[in-house]
Amino acid sequence: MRKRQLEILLQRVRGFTSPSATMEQYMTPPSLASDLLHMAHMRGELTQVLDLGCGTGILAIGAALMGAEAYGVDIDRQALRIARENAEMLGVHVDFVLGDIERIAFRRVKTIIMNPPFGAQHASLGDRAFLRKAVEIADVIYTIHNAGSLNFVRSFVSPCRIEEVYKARIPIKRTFEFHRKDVEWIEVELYRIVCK
Amino acid sequence: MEILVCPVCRGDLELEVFEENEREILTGRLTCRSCGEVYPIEEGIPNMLPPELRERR
Repeated sequence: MRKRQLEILLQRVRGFTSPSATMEQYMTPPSLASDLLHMAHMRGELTQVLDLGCGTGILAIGAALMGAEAYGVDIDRQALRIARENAEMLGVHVDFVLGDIERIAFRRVKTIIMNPPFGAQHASLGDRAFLRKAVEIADVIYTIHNAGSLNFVRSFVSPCRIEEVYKARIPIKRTFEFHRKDVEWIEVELYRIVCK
Repeated sequence: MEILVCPVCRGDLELEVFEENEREILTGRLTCRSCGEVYPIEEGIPNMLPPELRERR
């Protein structure tokens, strides 16, 4: 499937009905999701995929659309209900699991894809717990962070290595009271991290 | 769900199916073969929260 076709399909994915600000719930934009998935697909790294903090499922569902065996885990049951409906609507199977990122356990997986909370809100777990879990179980990680996180992430995941950096701007629609503009553009970076 | 292991002890999990359709398991449970902890599957979603966090959410 071409990247543009994937993006069009992913535009049909529903986001959060009542997003939690403390969990920094917002849906990964379809354009960035398809960029990430295309990058992984080109490298043959979209075979067995786990999405940590999958929310309503866009990354895991996109991976399944590209032919991957796909799994998603999140702590929000309501988000997972929507994720299951999204997968069904797009005709793919994804195994979704309810779990706490700091306490759940997996066997080793080939690839993790994730857009973890950035830790901008005080009560959020932030990206550390997600990165810690990811380097524990995956060979390769595709992960989205605030622009400027490179040095922190590089040292945090060591001895795993950041092998590629891709920069993007994403629109965040006004979701929470503290968002002042209707659409805020934020700079993000996608890292490909190799652990094997 | 081949990639899941017990969050408490990392043991292998045994699946019991109570209700399923053509495509997937809807209700059931996963039981740890090592420590015996039980994880419910509800609405097609395994609940792997540790026992103390498991109140229905």
